[in-house]
Order: sequence, then C-alpha cells, then structure tokens
Amino acid sequence: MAEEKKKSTWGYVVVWVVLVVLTVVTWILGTKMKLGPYSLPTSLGIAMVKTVLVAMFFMHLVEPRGARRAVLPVSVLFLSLLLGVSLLEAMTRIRMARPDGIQEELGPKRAGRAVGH
Amino acid sequence: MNPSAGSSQPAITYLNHETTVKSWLLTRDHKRIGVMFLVLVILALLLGGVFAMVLRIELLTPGPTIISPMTYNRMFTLHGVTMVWLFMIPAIPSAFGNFVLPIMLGAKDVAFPRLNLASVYIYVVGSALTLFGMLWSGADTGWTFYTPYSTTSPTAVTPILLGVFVIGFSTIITGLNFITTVHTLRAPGMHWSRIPLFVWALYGTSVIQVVATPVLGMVLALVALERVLGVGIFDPSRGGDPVLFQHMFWFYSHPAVYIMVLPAMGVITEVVCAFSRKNIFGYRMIAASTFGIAFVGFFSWGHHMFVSGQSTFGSGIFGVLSMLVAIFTAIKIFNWVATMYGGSIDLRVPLLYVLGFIFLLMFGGMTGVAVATTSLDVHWHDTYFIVAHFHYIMVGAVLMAFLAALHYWWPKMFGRVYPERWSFLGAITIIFGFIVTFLPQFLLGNLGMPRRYYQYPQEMQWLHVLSTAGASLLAFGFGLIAVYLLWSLRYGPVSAPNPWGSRGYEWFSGSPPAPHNFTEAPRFEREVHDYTVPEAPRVY
Amino acid sequence: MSTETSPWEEHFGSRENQSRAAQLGMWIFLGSEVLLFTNLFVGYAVYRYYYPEVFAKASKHLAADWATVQTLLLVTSSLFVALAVHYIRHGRQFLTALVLLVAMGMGVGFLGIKGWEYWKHWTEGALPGEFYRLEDLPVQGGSLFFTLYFLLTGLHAIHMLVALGLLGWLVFGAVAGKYTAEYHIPVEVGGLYWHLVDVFWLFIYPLLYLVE
Repeated sequence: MAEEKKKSTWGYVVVWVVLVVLTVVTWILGTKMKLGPYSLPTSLGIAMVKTVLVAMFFMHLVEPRGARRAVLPVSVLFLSLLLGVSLLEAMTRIRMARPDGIQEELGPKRAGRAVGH
Repeated sequence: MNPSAGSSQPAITYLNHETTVKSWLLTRDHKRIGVMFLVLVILALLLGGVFAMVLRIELLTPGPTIISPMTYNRMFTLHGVTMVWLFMIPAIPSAFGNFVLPIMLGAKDVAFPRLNLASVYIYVVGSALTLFGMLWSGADTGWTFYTPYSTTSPTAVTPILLGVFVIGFSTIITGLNFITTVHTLRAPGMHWSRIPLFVWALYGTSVIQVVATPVLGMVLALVALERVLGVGIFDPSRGGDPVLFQHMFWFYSHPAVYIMVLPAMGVITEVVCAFSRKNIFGYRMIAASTFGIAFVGFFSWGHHMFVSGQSTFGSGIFGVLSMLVAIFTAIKIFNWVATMYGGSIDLRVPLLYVLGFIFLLMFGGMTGVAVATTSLDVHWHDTYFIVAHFHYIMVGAVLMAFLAALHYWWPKMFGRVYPERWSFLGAITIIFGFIVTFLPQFLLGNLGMPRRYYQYPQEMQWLHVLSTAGASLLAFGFGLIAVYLLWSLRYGPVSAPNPWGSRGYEWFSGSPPAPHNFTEAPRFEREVHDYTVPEAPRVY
Repeated sequence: MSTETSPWEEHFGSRENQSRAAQLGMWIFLGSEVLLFTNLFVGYAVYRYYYPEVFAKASKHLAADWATVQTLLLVTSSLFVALAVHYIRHGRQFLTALVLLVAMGMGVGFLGIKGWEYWKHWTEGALPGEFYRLEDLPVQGGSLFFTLYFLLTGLHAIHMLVALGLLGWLVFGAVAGKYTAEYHIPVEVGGLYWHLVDVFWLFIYPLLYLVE
C-alpha cells in the first residue's frame, strides 16, 4: 500500500520535472535564441504539450470515463475557429479596410493615383 | 393508492405540497423553477411587445407620429435586447426544458438543483440591471451594439451591457446543468437511443449555450471597459479594428439563434408525434440533424458582416457555409411531415401551432438561404427584407413553438384544461396576425425600406399600415391567450393525467406531477412515442 | 431525503454517480472559461498580425525572466494541488491541507511578481487604452499591445484570486475533517479549476513575453 502510494506520487513528480524542463526550454528558445518565424509555432507547440501533460495527469483525464475528455478539445476547436477565421478575414481585407492600412490609403501619396478626390 | 393506467392523479403535487412564499423562493424543485422562468419570460415578452407596438405605431405615418427620432432609436434597441436576451434565449429551455427534461429522463431532478435556483436569481438580477439601463435613458445603439458607436454613444449603454453579461451566466448554468443531467441521471434502461427528441434538442442547445455565451460576455465586457475606463481594443485612433467587435459579437449571436430554434424544433417533434399518434419518422436523423445545426451554426457568423468591410474572400466562404444549415433544417421538416403522413391526426391547438411553425419556417428558412447569397445580401442587408426574414424564424417559428409547448404542457404543469374553442381562435389570430404583420415587410425590404429608420417615403406607407394592423392583431391574440389560460387556472376543468393520450415519457408522471416527479420508479419499457400498443402509459 | 449533515445527494442514486456528475459539471464550466479567454486571444492574434514589429518591441519591455519564474511557480503549484488530490484520496487530511497551503503560497508569490510588474509599467507609462504614455512605441499598436497585456494578465489574475479563495476554502475543509477518502469531491473539482488557471498562463507567457 505504501509502495503503491509512493509510486503514484513519483508519477506526479516526473510529470512536474518534464514541465519544468519544457518551461526552461521555452525561455531559452524565446530569449536567448532568435527563431524568427518559427518562434511562435515552437512556443505554442511546447505550451500545448505542457497542457496535455497537465490535463492528462494532474487533471486525471488518464483515468477512465470518457465524457469529460471531450470538453477541452471541443472548446479548443471553437477557439481555433473564431481565431482562425477572424485572422483569415483580417489578412484578406483590402488595404482601406485594414486598421493599419488607412494611413497609406488616405495619405499624401496621391500622385499618379486614379482615385477621385 | 392503486395506480391503474390513465386514471390516477397524485393527491400531493409539486404545486400544493408546500405553499409558503419561502418554499417557492428557495425551491430546488426543477418544476417550480420552470414555472418561475415561465412567468418571468412571459413578462419579458410583454415588455418587448410594448416596445414593438410603440415602433409600429410610430411607423404608421412617414414622418413623426408619436415619438422623437432619439426615442425611436431607443425603442428598437430595447425591443431587440428584451426580446433576444430576456425572452427568446431562455423561453423554451429555461421554462419548459427545466420542467420537462428530468421527467422525460425518469429522474427526480436536474444534476445541480441549487445551481438551477441560482440561474433564476441571476436572470432576475441581470434583467433588473438591463431594466435599470432602460429607465435611465436606454441605449440607442441597436441590440447589436456595433463599435465605435456603442463605445461612444451618450446613452446608458453600460448598465444594459452588464445586465446582458449577467444573464449570460444564467444561460451557461442551464446548459451545464442539462448536459450533466443527460449524462448522469437517466433512468435505468434508458439507452442513448431512447432519449426523447426534445431532450436531444436541449442537449444540442446546451452545447451552444456553454460554448458561445462566454464569447458574448467577454465582448460586451470589452465594450463596457472601453466606455468606462477607455481601455479598449476597438478604437481606430489606437490602431484598433471596429469590425473585430462584429466578429466576436456574431460568433455568439449567430449560434444564439440556434439556441432559440433548436428547442423549438424539439417541441415540434414531441407535438407532431403526440397528435399524429405515431412515432417519429427517422429518430436518428432528427437527433443527428440537431447536432448538424448546432455545429454548422458556428461557421456562418460572417454573413452578418457582408457589407462591414469584411474581406470578399471571407464573405464568400461565410455565404456558402451559411447555406449548410438549410440541409439539416430540411431533414427535420421532411421527417415531421413524413411522421404526420399516414398518422392518425388529432387536430388540436398544439398541432395547429405546429402547422403554423412548419409553414412559416419554410419561408423564414428559404429567405435565409437567399440572404446568405453574398451578392444578393449586398442589396438586402439592413433593409426590411432581413427584418422580415428573422421575424419569420423568431416569431413565426420559435414563438409558435413556444405557444405549442405552452398549450401542450399546460395540463401537465398546472393540471387544468383550457377552453378548446377559445384556444383555436387564439391560434388562428396569432398565425393570421403574424402573416399580416411580416409579409408586408418582405415587400418593404424589396422596395428598399431600410431597417431602424424613423422616416420613409410616402409610397411605402400602405405596407407599414398593414404591418401595424397585423401587429395589433397579434397583440390581441396574445391578450386572448393570456385571458383564457389564466381563466383555466381557476375555473378550467381539472385535467386527467394524460389528456392528449401522448406516449411521451413525461406523461408517465401525474399532471401536475408529484413533488419528486414519480411516486415510484418508472419503467420505460417501450420506445418513446410508441403508439403501436393499445394500452396507455402507466402513471407512476 | 438527504440530511443536512451528509454531503451525499439522494437524487443521484449512487455516490459514484454524484462524483461523476460533479466532475463533468466542472469540466463543462472549464470549457466555458476557455471560451471566455478566447476573445482576448483572438484580439491578440489579429493585432499581432497587423502590428508585428510594434508587438515585438513592446514585448521586450516586459520582464521575460520574471515571467519564467512565474511559470515555474504555477507549474509547481499545480504539482502540489495534484498531490493534494492524491493524498485526500488516501484520506491523509493533514498532508492535503499542507500541500494546498504550499500551492497557495506559490500562487501568492505569482501575484506578488505580477503586482510588481504592474507597478513598473505604471512608472513607465506602459498602460492600457487611454492611459498609454510610452514614448518609444507608436500609439497605434503599442497601446493595443499593452491593452491586451493588461486584459489577459488582469483576467488571469482575477481567476487566480478566485482559485486562491477556492483553495483556501478547501484547506479549511481539510483541516475541519470534512473531506475523507470516501468523500472529497470538492477537492477534486477545486483542483481542476486551479489547473485550468495554470494552463491559461502556459499560453499567456509565450504570447506576451516572448514575441519576436
């Protein structure tokens, strides 16, 4: 009984060690190195791995009974939907409809433009 | 007591076992909570209807009639806010869902009765805040609160935003409760494939409620923050994007209309089965199409933003995706009609409302596909065509279903029968009044009448007058219904346990039900709405 | 009828069912919390797309090293909360209370660092919305970054406070002997809430502090 208990607590500690290592890796990659366009997917990817670890082991999703497991993926799905589609729409707007584009459109660069006054 | 089929009534019901005010205010009984919600949403309907009548009377003449333009703007805003959040969203789930869902599952209550009670008080507090905002000066932004006007309007927007924010919690709690109840409190032997279709409808609704409502809460909070603290993300002078508000707002508000419609469709399924004396045609497809609607409803919000500066790429995609919902809706309509075909039709008032629902849903739904076509909506957007489209669904469909539910479950909830002839007159008045009110609005839209406008050209007056006449007829119809229903509570004949002979699971309990729904554990030996066997369901 | 003294509710039919229901209910609530933060992440995504250089520069204004410390604090506090659940499953009430207190201490430490950060921003003028006063970053985009920073970390901090309150209440219950190996539903679901607050930070940290 005592051994079983000990094994179980060590399980949590192992997960914690992995989380700490991943955090330090994120910090090093984020502050000590220049990953350029890869920095965002890398840090988010690591965050997702950490989340899965926390969810499965600290939040006990490894234990049986399935209905609870569907909740987080479903929520993340809808988060991605709103984020992805809004971003896609923002990226495909014409210059004038962009919040950073207005200055250029109505700016002093009028020479040669076919736009009416 | 020897409960023989169809003849016993529990002497002690949920209504009479405790009658103090405290026993109602602190109740954990889902039935009492359902009744309280019913009263509250009907009051909200009345308030929203008053705003509507003021609007319609003002629109009788092309120029000013009874109110100023500023007041007019407030009226349509408050009409929208009241109807959407104080009535439509909670009406069927919180009133009828709360009452009927646990009984349909053979449970004694919902999973979290105390949370359920909390949802009533949260709704009351939210409504009070909203009402306070209305009385202070009322917002003039439209119920859609578009930035940057909503962040800068001098009217009392913030209390209304906060009120709606609070009501949102009530919605989330209800959804959470229903989902958990369906997973954990089904009676022994009730497999997933035996769950009544109204419960499936509520389940789909609950998923939308839990997923979409927090997004609304946050976006309204962001507008309130920008108003009160100047801390916002929609201000163009700081590089913000007002259209981002619309993305966040409609991500909730489009699925919100499915929160309204799915429970309504669940009611229709129940009533169709009961009054065709036939089990539903295509149980699985009705259940699956419920989730189909819930799912695709989340993919189409940009169809509200075709002319907001949204990218044409986005608009095109949203337009096509918006049409998908018609597939699942059509499946349901087909299945309902197929159920009635070859059934033994008992044309009572609930079924009359169902016929109105199906007829009007077809127009509402098909005009929905029409306006989902981006190139067409560019012309129809912000005209009366849109107003007519969504009122066909919200009033023509959902409100009809609400009335169907009210009439179908009235004997179940209150143990009284209402006078049949008057109820027929009420239904015909409502259906006819609805058509006279809103059909002219399609025509007005095609003529170019913009929505939310205070003045209009002389040529459009006759259509507006017709619409107002219809609205008066609708108001009369509601008044009539209120009168005979209230009359029946005191003077109507006492109901039998199962006056409709329905084989829905909720009719296994008494009418009204015992305090814990059943006096002994029910056994659901047959499929729900199984009319192939002669004996009526036993009342437990 | 359930008595006032027993935490078991009769309408569930069995204790296991009540535990299942409580867990499912809490998970659904957690799901809704994810959707609550969603708008802020969406705002972040859209505005980072529109103002990438301003966001990168603004991110350098933040104390990334201290944020890493905060992350380590939260992750470790999660370990202790997980241990708390483990201990109460074995009926070790004292240990449960102890590890919960340690977790709370780490949460307080997290908030302390956050408070210090906020104070630093206040002195620099790196404030949200109308209060933005930073000279070396343009208002367009810079103000948005800090608005999103305060909204995200502020909402997160509010959730931390609620979670701390929850843990405190659990400590009380553990010390008072309310939770046993048989009945410890509140500890399980309270722990879930704490872990969610940790998970939110796992994303907020790289998004705000490590922008390149």
